[in-house]
Amino acid sequence: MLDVYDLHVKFHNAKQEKEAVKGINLHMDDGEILGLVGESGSGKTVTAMAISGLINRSQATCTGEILLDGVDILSCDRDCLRKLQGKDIGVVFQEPVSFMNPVKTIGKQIEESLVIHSNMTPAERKERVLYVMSAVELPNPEQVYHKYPHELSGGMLQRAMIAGALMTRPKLLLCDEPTTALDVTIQAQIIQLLKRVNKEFKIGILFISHDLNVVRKLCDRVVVMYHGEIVEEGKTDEVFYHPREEYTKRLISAIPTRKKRS
Amino acid sequence: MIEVDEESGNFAMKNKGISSIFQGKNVFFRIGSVITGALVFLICLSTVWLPYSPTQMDATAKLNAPSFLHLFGTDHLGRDIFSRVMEGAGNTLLIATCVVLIGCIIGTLIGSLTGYFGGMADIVLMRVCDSITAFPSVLLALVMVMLLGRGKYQIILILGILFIPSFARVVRGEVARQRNLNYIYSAKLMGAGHARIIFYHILPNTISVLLPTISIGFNNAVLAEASMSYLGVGVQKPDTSLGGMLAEAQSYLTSAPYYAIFIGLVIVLMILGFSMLGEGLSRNNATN
Amino acid sequence: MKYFTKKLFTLIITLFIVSLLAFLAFQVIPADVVTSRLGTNATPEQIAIMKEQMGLNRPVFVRYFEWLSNFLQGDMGNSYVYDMPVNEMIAQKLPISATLILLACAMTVTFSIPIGIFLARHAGGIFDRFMTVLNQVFMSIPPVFLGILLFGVTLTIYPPEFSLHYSENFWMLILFMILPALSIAISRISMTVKLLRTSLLDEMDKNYIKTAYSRGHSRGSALRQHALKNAILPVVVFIAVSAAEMVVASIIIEQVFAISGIGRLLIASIASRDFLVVQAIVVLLATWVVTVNFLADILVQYIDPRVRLD
Repeated sequence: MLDVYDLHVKFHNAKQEKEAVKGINLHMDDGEILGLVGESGSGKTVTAMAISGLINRSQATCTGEILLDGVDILSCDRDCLRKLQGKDIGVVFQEPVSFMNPVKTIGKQIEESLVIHSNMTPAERKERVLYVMSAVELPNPEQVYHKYPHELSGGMLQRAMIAGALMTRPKLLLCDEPTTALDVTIQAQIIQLLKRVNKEFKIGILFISHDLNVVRKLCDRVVVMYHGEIVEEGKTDEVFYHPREEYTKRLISAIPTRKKRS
Repeated sequence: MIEVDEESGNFAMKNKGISSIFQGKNVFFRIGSVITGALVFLICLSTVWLPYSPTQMDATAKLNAPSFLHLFGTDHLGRDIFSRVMEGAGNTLLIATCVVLIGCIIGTLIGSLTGYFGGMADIVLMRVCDSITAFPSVLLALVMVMLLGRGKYQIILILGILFIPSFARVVRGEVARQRNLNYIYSAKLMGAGHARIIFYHILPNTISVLLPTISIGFNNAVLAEASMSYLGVGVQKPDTSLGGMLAEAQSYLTSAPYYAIFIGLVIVLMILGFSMLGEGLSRNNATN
Repeated sequence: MKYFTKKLFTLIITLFIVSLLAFLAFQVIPADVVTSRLGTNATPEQIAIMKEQMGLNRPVFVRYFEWLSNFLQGDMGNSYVYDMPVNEMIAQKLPISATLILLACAMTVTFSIPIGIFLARHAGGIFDRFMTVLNQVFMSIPPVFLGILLFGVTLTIYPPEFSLHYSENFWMLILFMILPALSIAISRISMTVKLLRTSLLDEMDKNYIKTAYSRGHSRGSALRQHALKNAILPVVVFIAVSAAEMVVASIIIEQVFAISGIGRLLIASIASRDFLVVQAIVVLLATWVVTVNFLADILVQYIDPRVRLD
């Protein structure tokens, strides 16, 4: 489904150039959950933004190929990109409060991709939105539909964000550290939700995090990034229990656990 | 001047301060300072030398168009417009300076005290300031003119009082913010008294916020003064004022448009200079 | 609803305070009131008798409430200079001034919002940079000067009989008022455009715009459908404040264009020390300012759900 070949992302501001992603290759099959882990600054968020076409072209240049079912995102112009965004690619951002418009109702924000990409009537849209809202386990969808972001808790807002990203049944769902801003119990619920979404709707998930515990519970495969390069990749269990690279070993040993490691 | 990084509480340099404005490409500041500087220079020069006396009338040269003899032309009484404009601008600048001084000094005093000590006085005074600023100032000025009469010094007093709230607000905001920073806490631990903290530590750090306010103050003061003297309420004859001249010039608009145009041009340049200066200063603050 | 009634209550209280202050301000000059009636040669006994007759010796609050109840019923006293009821004098001139100010407000809103949006949409382009310079210049032109220039235009373009008869016909009135309203509005339009542009660009940097892009919005549609609603809030407040400032500018512009409206009446009454007229006009203008601010508050609350407290 998704193939990334030799992706380089260079940021250029007034003073200097910085290469955030230095030639990485990725592959994802349909309906797979791929984890992208690394510390802050490893380039994982930049990679995600490049894949979803959200990199500001005046701030950075991307070279390489990003193929989504054969379409190269990097050589897309604005129009072609807009056909993909919100339709075949959905994004869930890190912190739901600032990533939602404070003056618009939840319902109106969730249905946006339908408004842009489909010809449904308002009534049809509302029906679909309510359906997806209950699929993401939002209580009282009818009521929440008319509420504003500041009236919801972080966990509920994140579910709303996920609902908004799923409206058009995208092929790929990009999640950029969606659980980092939430507390631990809500985190677990969101992880379960994403697993269900992946199974039921067969949507591929690219899950970015620096929290290895979460990645271990959710992802089928894992890719480890460090300083803009891929350091290790493989099936989750293999990477966690039999890490090959030094960096990976250090990363894993840094996870606090109750058991002592041998 | 000790400036502090709020997050780490270190004594690191936070604001680049005012000197940074001379590095970098702040176009607004540069153009603003050029215009203002040139005008101030010309006005100061005019206090010692003018091509003609502003009151000297020449019956043979009424309403002459601009020429080498008379740079801006002559008015309906044969007086040289350029010299009169310079004198009027000088009056305007003098009034504006006094008004800004009054507003700034008293406003800073009030603002720093209320910002530092807070409490009921703070709430009440700030409400009062808000109501005064919500009200169109010229209207209040007109009412006060009824009470105090017209004239140069009355206008200075009235406008000065009306400008106090805007300075007080700005200073209060900054002082209230600085009051909680770590370096003040350290100063207190070292035993500094309130007066010392306010005047020696906090106030110098408010200068970067104060400067654009002062510049805008000049901007508004020139505008207010010109409007008031146009209405006949400010500087009285025989003193020259830009607004008063404008009122006279209006009668000759079709026969001698240059009369009104040059006066207006000088007013516009004064305001433009100060507003660009102010804009440049606040952009400098914003980028810090 | 609770928020609305609370604000309404504050409005009424503010109006009371404002009218009280206006009333008190004019009580500082009772001696003048009497001497302007009797002339400067009046003897102290004549002054004392007059004071008693005019009821000036009663306590301030009594006089205030009497004045207030009269005022609310429409009785604003008689002009000292013309010996006409003040409310008649004002009622004649009010429609003209009202047209001027409302026209200026309408111009401000209709011009600044589209231009502001356009500049934000094409920020950094040639037109944007050109407009920045133009704005800076227009903001520095005092309404006084612009008014005089446009007055010159009026003299050349409009036929001379126009200035006598324009108040007879509504459309002629509007036609005549275009240039005066423009002189008032232009500097406010510049400031509003600048504010809206900055506000919009600030909003476009915020995170929720990224979410909008990820759903498929283009830059233009994200700006119009998301950023605008947020960015318009400070602009609404600014336009309300402008409505107050424009009242002042209109006083001056009425002088420039010799429009016989409230502003001109005010200036003339100040010059002739016709206190009751001045007092009535000041209270009316104060009411306008306070009311416009109140309406702006309500509008902000309507747009931004976070402000609503019920």
